[in-house]
Amino acid sequence: MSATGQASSIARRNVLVEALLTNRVALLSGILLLAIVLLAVFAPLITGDDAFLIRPRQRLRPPGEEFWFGTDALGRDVFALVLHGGRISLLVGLLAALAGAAVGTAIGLLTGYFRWLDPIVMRIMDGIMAIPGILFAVALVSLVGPSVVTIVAAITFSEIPRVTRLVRSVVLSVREESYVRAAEGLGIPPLLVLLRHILPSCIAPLIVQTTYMFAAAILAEAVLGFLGVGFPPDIPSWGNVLAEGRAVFQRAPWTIIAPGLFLAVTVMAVNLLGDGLRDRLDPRLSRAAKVSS
Amino acid sequence: MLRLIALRIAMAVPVMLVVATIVFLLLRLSPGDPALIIAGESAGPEALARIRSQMGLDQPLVVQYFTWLAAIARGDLGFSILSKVPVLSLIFDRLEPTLVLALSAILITVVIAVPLGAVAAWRHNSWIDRAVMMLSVVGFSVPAFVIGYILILLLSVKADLFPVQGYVSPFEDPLAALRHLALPSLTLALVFMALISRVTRSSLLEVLGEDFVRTARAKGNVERRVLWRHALPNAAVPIITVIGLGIALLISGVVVTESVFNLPGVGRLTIDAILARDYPVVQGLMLFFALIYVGVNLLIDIAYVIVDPRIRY
Amino acid sequence: MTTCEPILRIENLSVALPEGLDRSHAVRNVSFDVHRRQILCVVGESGSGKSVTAAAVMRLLPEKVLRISGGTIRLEGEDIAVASPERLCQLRGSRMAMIFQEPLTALNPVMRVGDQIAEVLQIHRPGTSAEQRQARVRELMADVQLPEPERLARAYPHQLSGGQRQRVMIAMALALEPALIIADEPTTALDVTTQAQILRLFRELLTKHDSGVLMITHDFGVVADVADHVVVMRQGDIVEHGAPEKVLKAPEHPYTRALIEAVPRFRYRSRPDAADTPVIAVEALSLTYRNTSFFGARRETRALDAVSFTLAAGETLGVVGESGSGKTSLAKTLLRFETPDSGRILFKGQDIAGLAGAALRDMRRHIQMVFQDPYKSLNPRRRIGQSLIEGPVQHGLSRGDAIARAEDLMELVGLRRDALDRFPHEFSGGQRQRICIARALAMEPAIIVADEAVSALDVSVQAQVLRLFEDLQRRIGFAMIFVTHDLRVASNICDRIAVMQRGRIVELGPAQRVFQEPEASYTRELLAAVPGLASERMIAD
Repeated sequence: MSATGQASSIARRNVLVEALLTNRVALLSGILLLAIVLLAVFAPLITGDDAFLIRPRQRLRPPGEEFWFGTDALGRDVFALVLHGGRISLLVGLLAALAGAAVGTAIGLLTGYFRWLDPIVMRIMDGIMAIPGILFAVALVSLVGPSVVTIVAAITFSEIPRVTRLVRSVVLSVREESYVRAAEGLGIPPLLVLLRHILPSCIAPLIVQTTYMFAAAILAEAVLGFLGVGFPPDIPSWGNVLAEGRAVFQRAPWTIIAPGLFLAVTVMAVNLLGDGLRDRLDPRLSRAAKVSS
Repeated sequence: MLRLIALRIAMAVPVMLVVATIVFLLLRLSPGDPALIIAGESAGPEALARIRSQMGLDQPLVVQYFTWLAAIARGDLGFSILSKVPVLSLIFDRLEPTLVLALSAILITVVIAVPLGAVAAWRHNSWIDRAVMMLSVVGFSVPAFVIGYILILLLSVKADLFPVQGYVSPFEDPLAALRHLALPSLTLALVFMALISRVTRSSLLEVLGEDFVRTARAKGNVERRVLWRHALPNAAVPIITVIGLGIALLISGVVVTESVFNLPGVGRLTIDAILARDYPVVQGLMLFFALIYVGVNLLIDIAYVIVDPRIRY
Repeated sequence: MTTCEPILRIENLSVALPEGLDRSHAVRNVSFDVHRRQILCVVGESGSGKSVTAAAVMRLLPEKVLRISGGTIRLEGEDIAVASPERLCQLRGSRMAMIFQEPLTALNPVMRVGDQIAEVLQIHRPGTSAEQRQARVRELMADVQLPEPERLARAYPHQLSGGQRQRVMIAMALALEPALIIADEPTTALDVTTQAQILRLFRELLTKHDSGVLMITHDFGVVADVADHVVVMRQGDIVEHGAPEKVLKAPEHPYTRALIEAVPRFRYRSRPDAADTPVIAVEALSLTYRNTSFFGARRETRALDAVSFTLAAGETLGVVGESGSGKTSLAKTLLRFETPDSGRILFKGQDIAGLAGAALRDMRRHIQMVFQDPYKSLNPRRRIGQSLIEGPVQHGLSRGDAIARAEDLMELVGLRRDALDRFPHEFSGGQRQRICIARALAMEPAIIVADEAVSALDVSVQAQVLRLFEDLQRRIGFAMIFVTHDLRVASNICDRIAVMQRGRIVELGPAQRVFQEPEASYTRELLAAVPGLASERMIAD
């Protein structure tokens, strides 16, 4: 069993790789994203501790040879800030996306399969969706205090209903398939049916959704920072770098444009990657290409 | 129809109850003592105890919860800790700029995004399709405040076409209001446009593969008529569904946009209240936003019945 | 054959498939004529290119994928293989019209049916007034024998029955009295009694209007009932054509002969009286579907109404009826995917109607199932071997023994022993159905419930699978409940027949007696509607 399981997961991984290779836009996005991740990871090596060095005499310098992206109100190098900020922003985005996918999938699987749970859980999900995600996150972070855990939790919370709904809808349609019926008819216990026959159908849409959530979470962290409840200034993230720029943006627009551009390019790369994966993995959209005879 | 409306309202009650519970728990379970905030750091223990008993904070949590629920059910959202004004009137005072902003953004979106999405689907895989999809990705990816600042920088600071910030009521000076509104509503609409054009495109693509579209062609319909008369009405349900769900996006956008353009709406009020830990106002605003969301989606549920005769409750 | 100019003349038509498929053409060098007041039937199995031919004439092929690569299609003398899009829009609906297989999806769900018929007039006769169009719609609806045209014109497609929907499609096609009507499997999605009515309507309308009909079908019964001329296709080629009497009675091509031989006929199997102890006894089984929406608004459908029967070991009971008769609900309830409201299901004396949880799962091994759609019955992500051993392993067999059993079963159902590590998509529909049968047999069940198990298969494959069922039953000795809408298939494989209508068994008895001397009037109605009875006599002669 484990041998065949391994083989099929290898096969699935190949599908993913193939999806990337056949879609030029997705491939380019992937490469771009990889470059940004590497820049962020190796930020300390590239820029030293420029991000934290306060130079009172060189405040608000425009972009030039010495400071590629200029300096901020404290005289810190914006280029270094942006690279360092990427570390936290990407980490928060990744954690929030993974946490949202894990929790949402578990709830969605159970809700879709055990119908008596459905009315209760879905009302709760409707309730969560009715609360504007950003406001909830701002409130939570400002009450509990900013940290990676609180910010990730605050962003994850409002992503859960979307994953739950997605997984639930897949479960609802797959559980009517004859092969699931057949497994039930063989006397396979519900939990095994869920994991063996239903969960695999959720994987493809989940990968796509997780990619989109990654993008949304990076944005959400930036908004939190912008609204003044993100990480404290001594931990640079794209959010609080942008927030610092707010006060001086008319005089020094680079303090907003540089981190904003980096953020936008990252999120765009992630979104395009998600689109590419969806086009390849979601059979509903490739239906049009099917040949009928 | 009346039965349907009653039914939908009945279904919205448990949702609002869930919202109320989450909001209550969020504020009561987080660290920090509301009494301390009200009285200030320097207050003595007696003063704190008096405020606690005044606000019912010395009661068990369950009792507080139900007392609070009962108050909300009566429409009593309490008083602001800071300004001592009733929360409800505070909200209504700040409602106009927000409503004007949101409505104009929705208008821009529907007028531009639906036709764009339709054309993209119709010319699937053409350059128009690719351009629309690319714009939609950009709309999703660039944060609203960055777009807002860039717009201000280019069109207000450099070109001096629009005022930088601030709000003028359209009921006082419609022309000035339009100038003040242009950039904020465009900023706000961008994400929404990205979403709606995308959904319009994908649901139309799905519908265009259906059998009845082939029938429509077999009747001798020209392509344009197939698209507008047959495909689009059938794609309407997912489109208006997403418009409803997008209200959440719009509300988040309002908060950010009002901050960027310094508009005195409920979005600003929310952030100010959160940062000042004005609990009753925060609770009231969250309930208020949730109610808007639930209300809009209720209207959309009712619209389904008009758009699609197969849907009956 | 008439000597006048044909309405449609197809010469050397070829449609190319995209590269990289197992063949280069969907249709190759096809030629035939359709004449006025004539029904030409194109028959073939799936993949024969018959539907592509029909869509090519309407120029409704997805032309990026399926390209007309040669030949001419002359409609009243004009070659439409090279017509411009504008010209095509003029011709479609006015000079040629098309009727599709599934009327529910072929009609616009959010448009009133009257408006959909009127639309044809609106497009091609823009000068007419709304009143004139309304009047014409009523007239057409009366023509196709729709009751209460006034009321039905305002209905939406989902509010009509399948037969009514197909009549709307026909009215739409007739609206401008086109020269050519193309009907792609127009009765396949309908019940037999409705099918008989629609086919009769086709014949009547032809004499009233002046059109020619190109009908696509897989059903030789339909051919025998309506065709004036037959074209048999296989894998894109025409293998034989001629008058139906000739093609059906004295087919020349071996493929046609094999195809016609595979068509099930009424044939009864003779078996000694089955064992007297029932393996399952169903007593007064009732099932109600409740559609409870959030508040009140309860819609109840009686799916099963006091159904009783017994099944002896080794016996096959056929359950026949039209859609909505409750036959599938019966299968689901026996398999305990539904819990009955009342009544008992005695399996070897134990009532299983109320079992739940582990006790239910343990019982399930004894009653196994084979479903209709072989493409959905196997988990596409799991290897055949995994699917075959899953059940036995769950019930305590060791992996090694389960694999050995699976290999034996593969051989038993006519597949290779070493195919266990392949995925379902590597098999054809018929092969997959064999695998499903093997999966059921792996549990060593006392009973197999087969729900329309051969309905989705081409006739030649159908015959093979039916033979396999019979053969296995003789060798292994399970009892079987065989649910089908096809009376001929039922007659081939069943010892006794239960005829169901509106949740009840209206007649129950030995197969030969039920079909040859039916007692219930509904059974007689069903039998009379079976297509191609005439041809059966013709071939039997």
